[in-house]
Amino acid sequence: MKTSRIYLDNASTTPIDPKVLDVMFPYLKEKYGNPSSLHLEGRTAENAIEKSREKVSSVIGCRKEEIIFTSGGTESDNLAILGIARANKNKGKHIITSCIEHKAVLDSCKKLEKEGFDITYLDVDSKGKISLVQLEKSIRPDTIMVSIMYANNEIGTIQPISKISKIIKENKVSKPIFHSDACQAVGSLSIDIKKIGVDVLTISSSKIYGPKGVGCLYLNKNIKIEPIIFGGGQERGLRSGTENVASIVGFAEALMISENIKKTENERLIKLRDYFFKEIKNNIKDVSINGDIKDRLPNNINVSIKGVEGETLVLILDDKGVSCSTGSACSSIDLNPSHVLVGIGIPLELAHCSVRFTLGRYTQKKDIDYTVKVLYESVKKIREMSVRVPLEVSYK
Amino acid sequence: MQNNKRDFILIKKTIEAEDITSLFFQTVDDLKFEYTSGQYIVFKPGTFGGRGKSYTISSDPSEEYICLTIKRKGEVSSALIDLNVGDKVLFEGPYGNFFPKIEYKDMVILAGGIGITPFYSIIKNKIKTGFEKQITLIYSNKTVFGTAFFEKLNKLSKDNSNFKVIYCLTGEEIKNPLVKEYTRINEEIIKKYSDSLKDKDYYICGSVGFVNDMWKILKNIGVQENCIFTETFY
Amino acid sequence: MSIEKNKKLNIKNFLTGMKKEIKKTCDNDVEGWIYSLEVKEHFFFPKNILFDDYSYKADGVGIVGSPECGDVMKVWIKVDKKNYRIKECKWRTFGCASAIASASMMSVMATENGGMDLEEAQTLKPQQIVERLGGLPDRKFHCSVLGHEALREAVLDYFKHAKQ
Repeated sequence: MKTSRIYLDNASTTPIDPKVLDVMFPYLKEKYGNPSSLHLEGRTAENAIEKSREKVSSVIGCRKEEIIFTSGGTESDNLAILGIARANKNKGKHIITSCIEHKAVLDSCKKLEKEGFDITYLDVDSKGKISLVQLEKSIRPDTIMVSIMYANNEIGTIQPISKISKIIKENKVSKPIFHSDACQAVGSLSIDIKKIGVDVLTISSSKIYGPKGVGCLYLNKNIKIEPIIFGGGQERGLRSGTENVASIVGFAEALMISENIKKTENERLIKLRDYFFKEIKNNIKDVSINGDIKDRLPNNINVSIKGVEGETLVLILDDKGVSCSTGSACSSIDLNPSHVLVGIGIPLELAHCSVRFTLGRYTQKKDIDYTVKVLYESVKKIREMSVRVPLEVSYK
Repeated sequence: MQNNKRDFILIKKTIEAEDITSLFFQTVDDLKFEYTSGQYIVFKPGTFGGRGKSYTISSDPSEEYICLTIKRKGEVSSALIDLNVGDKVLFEGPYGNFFPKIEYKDMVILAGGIGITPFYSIIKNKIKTGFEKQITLIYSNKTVFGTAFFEKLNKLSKDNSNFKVIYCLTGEEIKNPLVKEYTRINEEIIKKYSDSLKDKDYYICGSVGFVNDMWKILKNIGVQENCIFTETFY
Repeated sequence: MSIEKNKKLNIKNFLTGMKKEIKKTCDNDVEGWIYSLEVKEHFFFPKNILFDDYSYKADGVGIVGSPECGDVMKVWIKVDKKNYRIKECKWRTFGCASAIASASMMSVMATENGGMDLEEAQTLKPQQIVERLGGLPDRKFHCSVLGHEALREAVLDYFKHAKQ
C-alpha cells in the first residue's frame, strides 16, 4: 500500500480542517457542560452554541433563531420533508421533488406516500437539470412543498435555484414551501438565502472540512413544522437531545472558513478539474462525461469509461493509493446502477462504467498527474480482460 | 443461444400464501411453450433500469397453463403480481438446467420459502410420470400462513406413498398437527428424515444464505458434491 | 487500600489491553478488505485471461450475462478428445471484483489435476467456486454464478459442434 494516499472522494466526506479541530478541543475536554444546565459549565456550553448559531446565520443571511442544529444532512432533510408535510397537511397533501434527489429526501417522500401524500417526481434532462416548465405545470392547489437539491452529489449538476424559487413564489395556483438540500453546494456556491430564495435549506458539516454527525436546517420563521425527534425540547423543541456542542462549534468554524476562501478555492478547483478532465480525455479512449459541463460543482468529475466496470476500477485505483467512488456498486437485491445515472438516462452499460472523482482543498496538480498515470494503467489492465462490446449474443 | 422471446397472456391469478401469488399464463400464438420442470423464464419490464428478473415455472409441462408463483418483493415482482387478467407480457426463455443429467435417484429436497417453486413443478412431474423412488421434501418457512402450496403438498403426500413432506417452521406460535418441526433445517433434521445418506440426490433452492447454509450442512455430513444440485434466488 | 491498588492495577491492565485491541482493529481497518485473501489474489492477479481472443481457436465458447446488467462473462475451452477433459479454459469478463475473481478461480478449477471432465464441468456449482475463494459476502454471490454458467455454455457449445 502506498503511504501517502490521494483522496479524491471529497463529495463523500472531507478531512477535518486542523483549525476546526483546534476550536473543538476545549469542548471535548474542559468545557463539557450541558447547555441546558444553569451552572457555569452549562452556561459556557450554551454560550458556545449561540455563538455558533450567530456565525451560521450570518453566513446564510438569516435570523439566529432560524437555524436548527441537527445530526447532519440526512436528519435535516428528514426533518424538513416529514416535519413540514405533517404540519401542513391541512393545506394539502401534494409535494414536488426530483428523481435525482439524495436518498434522505426520496425515502422521506416514500414514507409520506404511505401516509397518504401524493408525490410528483420531476424528470431531469440528460445533464441532470429539472425542467422549469414541468415544475410550473406540476404545481397544484394542494401543493404544500417543493424540494429540489441545490447541486447533485454524484454528477455535480447545479440546479437553477433562483429561477426555481421564482417560479414557486410567483405561481398563482398555490404557495408551496421551497426546501433545498445544499449539502454539496455549501462549500462552493452562494447560500445567501435572500439571493437564492429558499424557505428551508439543508446544510451538512461533513462536506466542508468540519466534523461528521452535525449540520443544520435553515427554517424561515413563518413556516409551520413539527419535530421528528422528541424529548428535552432543545432547539426550540424541534430537535430534542443534548446538543453536540463540540461538533456544533466545529461546524460553525468550518462554515466560516469555507465562506472566506470560497472564491479563490473555486477558481483553483475549476482550473485543476478542467486540467484533470483534459488529461483523462487525452490519455484514455472512449470516455464520456456524466452531467453538465458548465453548471457543475467546481470539484466534480464523473465519467464513464467504456468497458471498465466501476467497482473494479475503484478497487484497483484504491490499491494504487487513489480513493474515488462509483455509481455502479452492485448488490444482489438491486443490480441497477445509481438512480441518478439512471435518472439522466445514460445507457445502462455505461452507467456500470461510471467513476467519480471529487477534488478537495488539499488536492494538488501533482496528485492529478499521478492519478491520471495510474488511471491509464488501470484502465488498460481492466480492458485487457474485459469482454468486448458490442456483444455477439446477449443472454439473460 | 437463439432469441426466444414470446408473448404471454394472463389467464388467472390465485393467492397461494401471505404475499405469494400464482399467475397462470397462456402463449398468445397458441404454439406450445416447451419447457422442463425446474426451468425459469426472464421478465424484463422495460422500466426499473431495464434489469430483468428470473422466475421459476411452478407448473409442470403437462399442465394447461404456465404458472409462475411469485413472492411480492421489490418493484419487478410487484409489477408482475399487479398485472390484470387479460394483460400481455413478454417472457424470455425457458432457461436453466436444475435437474440431473442422468437417471433420477431417491430425492432429498431442501426448499427455503419461495425456493419451493422449481420443486413444486418437479414433484408434480415425477409423480405424474410414475416415478417410483422416494421423494423427501424438507420445506422451511416462517409460518403456515406464509407457506406456499401447504394444502396441495399435503394432498400430494397423502395420495402418494413415495412422497413425504416435512415442514420446518421458524416463526410459528400455534402448533399444527401437520407440522413436525419447529426449527431451521439442520444436520439432525436432514439425517432424521433421509434414512441413509447414500444413493440419493440432494436438491437445494432458496435465498443465497439458505442455499449456502444447506450446502455447508450437506458437505459436513459427508454428501458428495456431485450429488448436490443448487439453484439460488436473488 | 490494597484492594484499591489492585483495582487500579486491573483498570490499568484493562486499559492497556483495550489500547492494544483498538490498535489491532485500526490496523485491520487500514489493511482490511471486504474480500478474502484468495479473492484478492485472483482479483489483482487473475489467471487464464484470454488476451488474443481474435486468433484463439477454441473447441467451445460460452457467454452469459449482459452489459446492461453490469456483468458479462465469456469462456473459451479446449477439450482433450482422448479423455473428454478440459485442456485449456480461458475467459474475459466485464464485471466487478468478485466476478473477476470467480472467473479466474473457475478457470483454475476447470484445468487443474489433468482437467475437469465435461460431465463434471456441466454440473459445477457456484458454491464450489465460492468455497475455493474462501467465501464471498452474500450480496456479492450472484457475481460468482456467471462463472459456472459460462463454463456450462462452453461445454454445450463444444457438444453442439462435436455432433456435427
